[in-house]
Amino acid sequence: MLGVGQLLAAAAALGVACCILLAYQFVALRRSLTDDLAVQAAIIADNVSATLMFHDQDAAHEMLRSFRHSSFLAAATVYDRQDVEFAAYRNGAVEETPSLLRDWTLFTPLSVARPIRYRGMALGRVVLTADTVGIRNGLLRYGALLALASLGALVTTSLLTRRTKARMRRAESQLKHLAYTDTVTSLPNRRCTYEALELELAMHGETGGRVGLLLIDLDNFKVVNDTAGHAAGDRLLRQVANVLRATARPSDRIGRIGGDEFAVIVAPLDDPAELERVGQRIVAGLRQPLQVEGLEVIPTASIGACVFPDDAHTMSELLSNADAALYHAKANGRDTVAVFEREMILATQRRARLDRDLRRHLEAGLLELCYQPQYACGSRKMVGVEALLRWPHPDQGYISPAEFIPVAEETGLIVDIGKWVLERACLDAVALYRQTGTWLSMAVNVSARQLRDKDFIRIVEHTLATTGLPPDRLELELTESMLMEDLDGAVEFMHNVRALGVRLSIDDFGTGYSSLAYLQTFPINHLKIDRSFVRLLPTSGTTIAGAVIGLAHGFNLTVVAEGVEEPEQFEWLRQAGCDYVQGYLLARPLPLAALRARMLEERVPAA
Amino acid sequence: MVRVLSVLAIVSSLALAASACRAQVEGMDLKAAYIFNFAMFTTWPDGNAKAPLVVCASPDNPLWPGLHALNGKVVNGRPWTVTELAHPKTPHCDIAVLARTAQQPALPATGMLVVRDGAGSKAAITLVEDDEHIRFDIDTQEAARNGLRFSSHLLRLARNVL
Repeated sequence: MLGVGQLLAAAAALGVACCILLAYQFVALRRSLTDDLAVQAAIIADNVSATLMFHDQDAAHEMLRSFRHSSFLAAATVYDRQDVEFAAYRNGAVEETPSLLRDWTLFTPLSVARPIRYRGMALGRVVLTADTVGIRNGLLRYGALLALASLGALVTTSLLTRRTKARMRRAESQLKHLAYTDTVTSLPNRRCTYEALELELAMHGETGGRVGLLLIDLDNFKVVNDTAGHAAGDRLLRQVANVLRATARPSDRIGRIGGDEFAVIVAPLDDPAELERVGQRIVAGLRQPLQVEGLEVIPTASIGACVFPDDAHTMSELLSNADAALYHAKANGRDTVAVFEREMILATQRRARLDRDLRRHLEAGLLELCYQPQYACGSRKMVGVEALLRWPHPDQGYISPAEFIPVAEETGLIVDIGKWVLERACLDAVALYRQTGTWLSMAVNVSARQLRDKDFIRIVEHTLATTGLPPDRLELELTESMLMEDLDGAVEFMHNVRALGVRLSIDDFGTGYSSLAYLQTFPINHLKIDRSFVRLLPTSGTTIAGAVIGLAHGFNLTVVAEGVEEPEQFEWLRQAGCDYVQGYLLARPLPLAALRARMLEERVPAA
Repeated sequence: MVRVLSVLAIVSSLALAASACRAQVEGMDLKAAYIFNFAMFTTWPDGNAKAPLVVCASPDNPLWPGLHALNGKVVNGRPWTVTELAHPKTPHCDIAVLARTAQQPALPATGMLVVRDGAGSKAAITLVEDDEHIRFDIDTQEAARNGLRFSSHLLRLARNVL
């Protein structure tokens, strides 16, 4: 575990290095010994020459004996001219050398021979033999030192390696902690939560126990984040995390799985109803006001709940079903808990299918527009039409806009659809003029999503330019509620559109805020009385209808009543001063060809 | 039997006599060689490098043949030249080899190395036989008086140095 292999490799490398150093040391020691021996031979040869000349063996012996102090000289022998031994010295060490080393050729004694001369006269030779015990001891000492140094190096290396590895392990565990923890709330993050969920499911799946999953989405996180800044948003998240910790059961696992999304894994869960109770507790706990950066925020949340294995058999199913329930909770006014039911998933699936088909059919050009004429109350002449989108689905027949428009709003497809509608309506208006010689006012509905799109004003401008429709023939219909979403942006858009010459109307007036103050600031041309009020006429609802008409005229606006189906309704509206009416009584929504035919037909008697 | 023994005795005594005689001759040659070697370790005052090395001896000196045999050999670049001590034409002697009792020649003393065979009167080097070995004594004062110097190698081997 501590890199035994690496240690062995290092040891082997050191071993090789030691061998090379030892070999070098051996050669160096031997060379040094040979040099020393050569020097001593020269000294002896110099000093022994006279004794040879005078045959004084005693003096020669004495001279040789003075070399007994040499640490390495084992034997010195002087031979005369006839190669007869003249004098010799032995220290006896050569004989004492252990046989093991003597047999080892590396440590055989070293010999040096040198001729003895005096003034060019050859007198004999001297042979010196050196003891290699010194080399052997030197090598042994050196080897021991190397071994010690290598051992020290290895120990140091292994200690350092161990410390480095420990540091790496610490860093790894820290990284792992970071990978599994949300740094804002210190809760387990999405990955960790999902892994925990997987584990819980595996555990309880075997024993047949239940696992509950709550997906929690803050309703107003985006508002806090946008108005008070990210720091405030983070504080809100931390406080929500604290609330969750306080309200969930101790055995439950809490995690932050997205920007403002939390998950609570409720396990073990004996009673499926317990899950909803936990969810209700959380909703109630969150509803307490929190102080965030001086603002008082009441963090409400929508919660989707789903139980494994009752409502889902796999983890992905559990997650998507809980998500469907969460969607339901949000759709049902938020700040509530929705427990998953089969129907939710059916609705979700239908929405997904609608979105897919709508996208495909828009591209294929299968969508249609039809036009509902608007008549002037006084002259009963057709003055304009409202463009209405129709989707003839090949399998399911006509699908109600009330069903597919919200889906398109949600997925953003409405932007493309709106663009197409605008262009188609403008082209048709121009075509109608060319065929009938009459300009109609073309009313086109605008969705909230389009209004938020910064490019929309340019799209309008561009469409008018390319289709050739005079701007004052185009009327964009907005709803009160979409204007209230982003008041400043909406007012700016309205002014820009009015600057182009396009007219504006407020749809469904009277159903929403109906703020008189806003009515004064909006640069609009028409008000539409909602069909819910018209339907009641003339027996009841006359107060509101009359008030709207009066109000509109007061602001110098024209009034259009929609959904007029009875002659009595029409009569009442005409007398009340309503400017235009639209409804089945006068004309149903018509395809382009039928509209053209109707226009031509109505023109003749008039003309 | 007796005759045989006497013959053996005669033969052996003859052989003994012959070996003794040979030993004596070898001793003389060795002494001559020693004198030659002395020259190798001696420095003369004039330092005349090329002139012959004049070795004076009496022809009746037992060393004469040995010295004569070395004639022509070179000592430090100077040819070994043996000459009669009493010869009137002899101008000087570099080496004077004298018997034990002989008088010093009446020649210029400067630059003359006196070697005496056997301890007698004064000489720079005196050859002596000690325990059947030929040794020598050196009188450095005597040598210095004649302007001679000896190598330390030679002095170290001398039996006595005066």
